[in-house]
Amino acid sequence: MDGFVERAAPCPAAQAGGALLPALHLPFLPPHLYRPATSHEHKLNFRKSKEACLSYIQDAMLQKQWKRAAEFLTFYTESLEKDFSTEYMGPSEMIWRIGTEILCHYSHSSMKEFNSFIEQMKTLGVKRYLKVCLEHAFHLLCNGRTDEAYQNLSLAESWRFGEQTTAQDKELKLIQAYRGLLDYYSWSKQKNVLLEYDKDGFEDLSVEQEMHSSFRKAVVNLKEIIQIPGVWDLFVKCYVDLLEFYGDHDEARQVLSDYAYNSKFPANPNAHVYLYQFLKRHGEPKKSLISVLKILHDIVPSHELMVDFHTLLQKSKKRKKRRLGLEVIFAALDYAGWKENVKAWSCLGRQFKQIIIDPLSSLSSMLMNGRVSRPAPSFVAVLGCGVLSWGGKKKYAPRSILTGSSRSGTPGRTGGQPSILADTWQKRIGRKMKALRMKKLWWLESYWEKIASTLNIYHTKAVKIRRKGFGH
Amino acid sequence: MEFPATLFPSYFGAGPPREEGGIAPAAGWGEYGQLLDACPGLHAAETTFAPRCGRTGESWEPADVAAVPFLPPNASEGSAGQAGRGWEGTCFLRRASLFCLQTLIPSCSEVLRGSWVPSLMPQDILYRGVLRRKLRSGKSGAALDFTKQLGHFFVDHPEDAFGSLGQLLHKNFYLGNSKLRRKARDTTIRMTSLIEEINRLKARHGCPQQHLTSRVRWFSHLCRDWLFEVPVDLLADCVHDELVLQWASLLFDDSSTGGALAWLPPEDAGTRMGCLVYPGGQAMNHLYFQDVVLGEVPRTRGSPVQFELNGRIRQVAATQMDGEGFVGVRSDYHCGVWRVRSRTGAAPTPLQVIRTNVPASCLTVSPHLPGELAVCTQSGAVYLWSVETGLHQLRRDPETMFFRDHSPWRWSEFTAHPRVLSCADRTGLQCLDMRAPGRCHFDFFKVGEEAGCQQGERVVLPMYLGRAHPSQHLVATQFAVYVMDERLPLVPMLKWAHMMKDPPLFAHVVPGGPGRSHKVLLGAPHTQELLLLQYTGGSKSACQLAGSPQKLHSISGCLQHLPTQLPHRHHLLQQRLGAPAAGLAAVQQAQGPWESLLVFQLSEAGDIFYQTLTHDAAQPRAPSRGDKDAAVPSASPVLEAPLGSAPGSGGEEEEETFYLSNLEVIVNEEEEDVGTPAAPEEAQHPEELRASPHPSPIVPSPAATARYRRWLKALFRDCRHLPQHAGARGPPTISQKRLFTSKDLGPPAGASELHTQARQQLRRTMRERGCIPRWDPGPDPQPSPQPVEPAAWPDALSTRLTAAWAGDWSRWWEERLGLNVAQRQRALRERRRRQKQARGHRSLSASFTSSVTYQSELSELSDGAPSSAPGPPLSPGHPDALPQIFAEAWGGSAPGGSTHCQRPPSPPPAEPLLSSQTLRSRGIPKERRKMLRDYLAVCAEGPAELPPEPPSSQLSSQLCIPSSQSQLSAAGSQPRRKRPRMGF
Repeated sequence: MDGFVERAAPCPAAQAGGALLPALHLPFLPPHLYRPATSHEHKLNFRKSKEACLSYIQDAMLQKQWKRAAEFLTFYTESLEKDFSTEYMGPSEMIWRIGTEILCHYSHSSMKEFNSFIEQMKTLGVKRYLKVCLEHAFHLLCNGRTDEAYQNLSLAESWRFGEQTTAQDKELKLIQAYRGLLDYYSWSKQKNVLLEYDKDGFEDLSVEQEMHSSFRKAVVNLKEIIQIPGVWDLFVKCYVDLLEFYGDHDEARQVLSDYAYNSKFPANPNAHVYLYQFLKRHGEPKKSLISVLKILHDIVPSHELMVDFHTLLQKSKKRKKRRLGLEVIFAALDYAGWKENVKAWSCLGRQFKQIIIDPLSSLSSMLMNGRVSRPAPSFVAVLGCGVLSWGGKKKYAPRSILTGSSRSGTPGRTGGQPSILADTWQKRIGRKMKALRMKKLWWLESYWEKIASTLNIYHTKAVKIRRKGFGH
Repeated sequence: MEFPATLFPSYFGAGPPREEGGIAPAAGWGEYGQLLDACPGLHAAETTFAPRCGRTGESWEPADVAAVPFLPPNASEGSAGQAGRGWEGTCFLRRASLFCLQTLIPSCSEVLRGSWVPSLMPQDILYRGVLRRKLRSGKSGAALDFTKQLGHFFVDHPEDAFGSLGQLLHKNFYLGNSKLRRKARDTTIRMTSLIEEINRLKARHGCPQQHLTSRVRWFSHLCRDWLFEVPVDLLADCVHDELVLQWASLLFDDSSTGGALAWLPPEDAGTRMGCLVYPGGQAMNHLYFQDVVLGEVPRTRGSPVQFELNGRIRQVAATQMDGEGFVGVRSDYHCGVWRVRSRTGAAPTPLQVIRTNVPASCLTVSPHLPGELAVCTQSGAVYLWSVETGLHQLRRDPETMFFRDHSPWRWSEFTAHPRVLSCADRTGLQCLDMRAPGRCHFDFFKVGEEAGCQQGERVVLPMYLGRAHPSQHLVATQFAVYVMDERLPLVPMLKWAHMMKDPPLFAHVVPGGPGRSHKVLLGAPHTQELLLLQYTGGSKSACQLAGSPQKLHSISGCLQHLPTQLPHRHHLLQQRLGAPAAGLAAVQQAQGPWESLLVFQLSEAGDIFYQTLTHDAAQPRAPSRGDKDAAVPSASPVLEAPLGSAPGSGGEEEEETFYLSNLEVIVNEEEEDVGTPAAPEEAQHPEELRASPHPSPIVPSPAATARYRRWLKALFRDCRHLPQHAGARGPPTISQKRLFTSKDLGPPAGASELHTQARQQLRRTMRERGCIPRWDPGPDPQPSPQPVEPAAWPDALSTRLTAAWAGDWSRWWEERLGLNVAQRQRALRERRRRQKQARGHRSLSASFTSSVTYQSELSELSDGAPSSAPGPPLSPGHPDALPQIFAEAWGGSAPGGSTHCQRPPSPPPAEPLLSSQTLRSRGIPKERRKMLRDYLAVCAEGPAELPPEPPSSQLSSQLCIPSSQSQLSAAGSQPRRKRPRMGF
């Protein structure tokens, strides 16, 4: 962070001058301030024409006039002649980028031309040799030339150029990883062939050997990159697939849990998903599944696996877990993306059913445990509905219980109503829930507080009634 | 919501950015980024790969060649809207500040270009307007001229500056011209000479020899601390601070972040009528709600509803929810919210206004709950503003979040969870739960290695992309745009270096349906750049950039399609159209297979332009991958010629040469785009115009042309309404009240006839705004000199002058020339004869005398020449030998050129003047005669020179000096022939 502090807090002596600097490091001086310097005019002419040419290229490319851009680029190559620039991006890199872009989009260009262009670009600068190689391989891969790409990647991997190799370590690792990926694909192809043979009762030793060698190469190449912090979904999946095929479950599990729980890695939801799927595949106990999903719930409450998590929790015997299930589904339904998710809403409906079956126990336990607290106040809405339905059945009909929402007799427009609510009281809950959903009232704290206070009243009433017995 | 099953590979580092930042004009191209298995799970024979960038996208073609004005030019009084609903109790209050710079800078407050207050120019506040190269390289090279501003303040607001002491000292300062009487001299000082001294100082501005006289220095020392109403140190401090602020905002102004243009979509697709919300008026302090009917050409319906606010509108944000639109409006110290009920057709109603002590920097409207907004102020506070419950402060932190940055700019957006807000400053974004803002928050975006940022990169604009995908956000920096997903914080889903020359401050997202790409429009204020990006993915598949980004028309680009204007109008237009952009909005409309994207742009001058992009649905994917040269004729060199010659005649070679010549033109910027009407624009916006090197080949559609014409007409009509302001600043007028007492100005006691006449004439001329040619009964002209006796000056020069004066100089000339040959022969003969004589009696004495004679000849020549020939001595050469144009000028320049000078008469047989007899008869000594002949002979052989009096100088002298000289030459002042062409 040292760099930040230095830049952000100039020393007091420089403060006066610093105030006149732009608040932002601007890539260009604002054009309305631009005045060409007159004294250095003669020196700058080449530079100026270079800049002008570049801006024409940019203009043409942004208007998708590839041919025009290409013609300007032929002029721009002259800028290589006096390339003493110490700038961040020199002309050679720009020529590479622009040329690649033009060749990618210009329909008349062939792969041969592209290859020869890239070969020239590779010789143009050692500073980004590996990057150019990698992008070349990407281009080949996107055009379905896997073998060529593989050759290119292998060549690039063996490239050594003193310090430049270490400086481009990231690219080198990526090259290895992509080569590993290609090895994996060839492995899986051979595996499929072998499986076919197995089915037919053949045996082919050469294919098998080839497959094993591919496996070894893939494993070595993939293993390296997935230990560096990053997002490596593709590589991890392949690596785990390889390990699983050869029965190395412990290693696979280790890799997956590292990928998910290493704090140096970003909080990638997919890492948890992969671990969960792996555990599920291998029939791990529910407890470990729940713990994986619990962590996923903590980082991404709106993940689509939350429905699975909810059902998993509802099956549990423990009341605590069931309460967690409610929390999970409510937290998920808070998100705008779940508005239309029928599955999640029917989960909620099912939850109501349970509450209604055993209203008092649910109510008391939830209230006693202070579930009306703020972080998950939507919970109260369920309680409200539970009481509502319960009270409605028992003739109390607290119509004013949801004063805020009772105004809204408007029928909902969208579908997605849980079909399981068939009874009259269930219908009523459905209506109320729908009204809630439409109005999104559970997000409004004032309503929750109202509901909570009303609930408390009804709770005491309910307890009294319970004690007296339903003598009517 | 689904999360993509596999994400693109990327490294994840922590800490400050490692990559060195810098200008990278091509950074956004040529990369695939990373690859992903295109169809995972299917173990097909061949795996296909999908790149992160460089995929094909939808093709959207601009329907017209330039942006077209949508509304009439923003006028101060023109727009006839519904009467402004007085919104008194809660209206925005104007900032009452003594040091408000708008009052200090005359160029800002006085010069109104049409009905628009132009923005501050660097010349206004910089010392001599110089920007050094140091500034470009990042070191500060600007020097603020704050004394000038102080001076403006003293002149413009003398009451504020010197009010009380001025009144006190009123009697002791004498400003008249007459001398003070002895008695008064004890208590009064005479200021006139001091003022003169100061004026003289001003005139000598920039002179290295400039030094203050003791008198001025003495006065300034004496009055240093007590004369000013506000202590001058304090005032200077304040002015300097304000100037520093203004300079900072000139370099980068973030107050308009978010844009001041909003579109409220129609309630249901059938009506095709939405509402455009925009600011207008002279100070951009009127808020307009204009109904717009969509179609192939969007049209306004009815007149706009108008609200007048007491502050410049910086940002307009809007969302539509359940048939109700909520519009938030931010000015510096006030924020307001309006509700628009499109269904009922009722006018928009203002709901609430808040006032802040510190300028607000952000206002966003919740897409989830009606009447909820997020407000940020520059003090670092983030508020949730609910119309029902008021303001809740969620956070207050004057420090930036991740590392120290001095910018007070803050931003806040809503997220997928209605109770979670994202808070941004220049260093990154955090999300915080408003139910427990202290505890529940997480880092969402960091400027650092996490997102692969460059050094010096800062967040410029965050935006919630909820309409495209509920958990996606756009984060724009000055170098790149990032698409972030809330579910995976810190790791950008997509990153693209946008290569814009100005940081993008406006963005608009147009969501694409299933299987379609989302479109993001990015706009930059000063360069008016407008980029269209497309991306896909977010839920099922990972985010990918679709198609290469596309540049849309800028407002200033339409200048070259406007009819040619007079230079001053052109300049005005150029300034008007080149005003920085202030907002953008876009609407996607579909009618069957025909799809179009309508993009509105707002400029700081308050003008709204639009352009339509049509979707090429017939060939959905393929053509965009291909080049557009075939489709767009603008790339064809033939059509690029200014006067579009016949298409199809251009071969490969012609293309080459065309581009080559084009390139040359570019390098010498002075000659840029010869042949287009927009030639002078280059100087103003070099960056902007560099981007459009070739004259656009296609002409705008007739409808667009009609719109242009109407717009121009309205613009110049408005300008005529404000004639005072339209032009540049006139000559300064100085109040004479303080210079002279009323007694001085009153008619003198013994006003003579002459005085009254002069007065009347003066008045009349002032009324007519003309010049005073000369006083009718002016002072007696100088007595004319004694008439010259031509006979007294018999030498050739004098005769020539005499002839010229009399008006038939040319005839004299002809005569002289005609003689020339014979005369030369004779002179030669005579010389030979004399040489023979000299050879005859060669002696020391003779040689001595001859040399002496020679000496005296020389001295006499040098003496005589200046006195008798003031101009270039002689200019021989026959007029016939000159080119026609010269001859014409020649003939015209001859004073009193009579008809016979048109055709030279046949040369007279001999020149009597120069024969020895005539010379002798005229009393010229022998030696002198020889000299004269020699002299004339030499002149006759010499090269042709300029005519004696260049006509231009004579013309000018006659124009500007209506003095006694012109009286003298009155004989020759008959109507002069106009010079045919350039002349000299």
